[in-house]
Amino acid sequence: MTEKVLLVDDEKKFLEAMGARLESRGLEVSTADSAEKALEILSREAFDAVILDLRMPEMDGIEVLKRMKEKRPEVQVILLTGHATVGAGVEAIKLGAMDFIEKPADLDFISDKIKKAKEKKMLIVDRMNHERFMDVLKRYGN
Amino acid sequence: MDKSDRPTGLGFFGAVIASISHEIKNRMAIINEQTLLIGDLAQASVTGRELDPGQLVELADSVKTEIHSADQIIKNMNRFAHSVDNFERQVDLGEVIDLTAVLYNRLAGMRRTQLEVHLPPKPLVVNTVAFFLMNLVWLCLDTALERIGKNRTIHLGCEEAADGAIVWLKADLIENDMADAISQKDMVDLMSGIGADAVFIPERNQVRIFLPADTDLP
Repeated sequence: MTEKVLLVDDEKKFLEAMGARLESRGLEVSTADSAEKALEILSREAFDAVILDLRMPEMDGIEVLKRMKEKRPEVQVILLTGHATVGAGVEAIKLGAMDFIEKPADLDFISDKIKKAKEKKMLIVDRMNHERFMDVLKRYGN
Repeated sequence: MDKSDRPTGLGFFGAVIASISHEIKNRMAIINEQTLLIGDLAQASVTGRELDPGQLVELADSVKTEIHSADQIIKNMNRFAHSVDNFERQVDLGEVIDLTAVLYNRLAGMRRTQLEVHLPPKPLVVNTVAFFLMNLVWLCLDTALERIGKNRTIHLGCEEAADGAIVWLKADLIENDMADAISQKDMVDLMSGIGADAVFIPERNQVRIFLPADTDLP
C-alpha cells in the first residue's frame, strides 16, 4: 500500500519540489504551507507520516507537533530543520516526534524514514483497535 | 533596572548570524530540491516519461532566483561583519538603518509583521559606532514586535535633526509602552556607548533615538 505523507513548510517552492519528487517515488503527498493549514488537513485526513519544518511563521514546529499529537496520537512526525541541534532534537523526541532531520535532506533517507513511520503507525493503530475491541468485550460480555 | 534576556554585544552578533544562517539554509534546501527534481525528470525521460521543457525552464529560473537571493543574504552578512571594523567612524545613517531592517526582516516575517523603512533622500552622515547602533535598533524592534497590535507594521526611519540625527521607530502597540523598555540597563548601556539618548512618545507610539552631532565616543 502507498505511503501517505503530509509535507509542512512555509517555503512553497520547497514544498512543490519535494512533493513532486516524493510523488514520483510512488507516495501520496499532501502539502501545507502553514501550521494552521496543516492542522486543518490533519483534522480531516489521516497520514502515515508528517514531514514538518521546525521553524515556521506564527507557530513553531514544536508547538505544531504537540497539537498534531493531540489530534492524531498515532501520527508519526519527522521534524525537518536548518540546524539539528541536540537540545531541540531531544525536546522534539520527548514530545513525540519520530525523528529529526537536517535540511537539505537526502530524499532516499527521508523515504526510508517514511516507510518506518508507516510501520510504526500501523502498530499503534492495531494496538488502539485491540484496546477498543477489548473494551467492547468487557462492556457487553463474551 | 534589570538586564533583560535580549541579546547585546556578542550575543547580538550571534543572534544575527544565526538568523542569517537559517535564511541561507532555506535557500539551499530549495536549490537542492529543485535541482534534484530536474535530475529526476531527466531520469524519468530516459525510461519513456514525457519531458515538459516548460517545467524545466521554470525550475532552472527558480534555481537562478534562489541563488541570487542567497548571494544577497551573504552580501548583507558581509556588510554586518564589517560593521565592527574601525568601531568609531563616520557612517551613512540611512545605510545602517537599512541594513538593520534587512537583517531583521526574517524575524518580523516569522511573526507576520511588515517592516517599512523610511530613509532620507540623501546620505545622512554621523559619527557613531555602527555595531552598537544596530544592536540598539534591533532591541527596539524586538520590543516592538513583542507588543505590537493588530496593524502589524513597524515603521523604522531616520532624519536629520538640528544638532544631530534621529532614528525613529513607530508601531501600533497593544500592551504597555516602550518607555520601560528603553530605560532598561541593556538599552541604557548601548545608548551611552554611542552617546545617544532615547525617548518614547506614547501619543505617537514612537521611539526616537537622538544621536548628537558632536558626540565624544568613549
